[in-house]
Amino acid sequence: MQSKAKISLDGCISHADFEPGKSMGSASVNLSDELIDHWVTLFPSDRACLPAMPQGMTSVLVMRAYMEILSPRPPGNVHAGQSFRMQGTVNVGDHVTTEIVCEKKWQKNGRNWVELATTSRDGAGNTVFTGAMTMIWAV
Amino acid sequence: MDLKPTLNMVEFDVQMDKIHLYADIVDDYNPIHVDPEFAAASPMGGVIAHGTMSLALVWQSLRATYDAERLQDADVSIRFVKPVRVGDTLTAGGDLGDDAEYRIWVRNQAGVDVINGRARVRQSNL
Repeated sequence: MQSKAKISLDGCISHADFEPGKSMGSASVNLSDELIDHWVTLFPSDRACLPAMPQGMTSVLVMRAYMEILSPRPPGNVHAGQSFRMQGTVNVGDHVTTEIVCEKKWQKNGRNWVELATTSRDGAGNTVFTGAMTMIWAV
Repeated sequence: MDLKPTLNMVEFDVQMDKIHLYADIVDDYNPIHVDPEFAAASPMGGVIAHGTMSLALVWQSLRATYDAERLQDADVSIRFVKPVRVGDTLTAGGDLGDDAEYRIWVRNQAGVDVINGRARVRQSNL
């Protein structure tokens, strides 16, 4: 399942395209065996979490959704901050759908800032974690 | 209150093959992360690791300190404050504040914060 807001007809998504309160879209990621295998190769101690998802993989689910939904992006964006609040358990094999909403945007010292609120839900529609990404948008 | 005064520390050596593996995991092949030639010519002056790879260490530090139940509604908020370079050795940990929140950090081998922020875990009912 995926949906994506049509933001710009041509070129990259710009700071002007963000509207506070507007959903940017949603995308689903399968927490597959292959993804888990890669993760525990990188972080072997996280094998102890299985079959529950290691909490560090919240970023994986959100970043994969972000890159699918907010595309194409201008080069030079900076990921300045991140928050997560756990609300449920994700297990290997689950499909998690993340919706991204523009929470707010502003300019400071000549830089374009945007805060994106994320809500990640399991296949039954239960919220498993929420978060916020703070980005410096290049253009 | 049964919160421990410090989080158990975890370490991670940043190597190029690990960055490539993380790129596969998040499907993020931004050349600033995976192309040394491109990155060297960029304002960053070289490859930088994905920020969220270092953020994973915060969760590992929390889990090295508390069991899964205590992290069921954990709340973590961080800033990425310095780039992480190939060859860096990172250490993650945290110190409990008076407000029952941990001041969390990930530091490089020079003791410089690359990530800092706060985290809250569930307090047990004693």
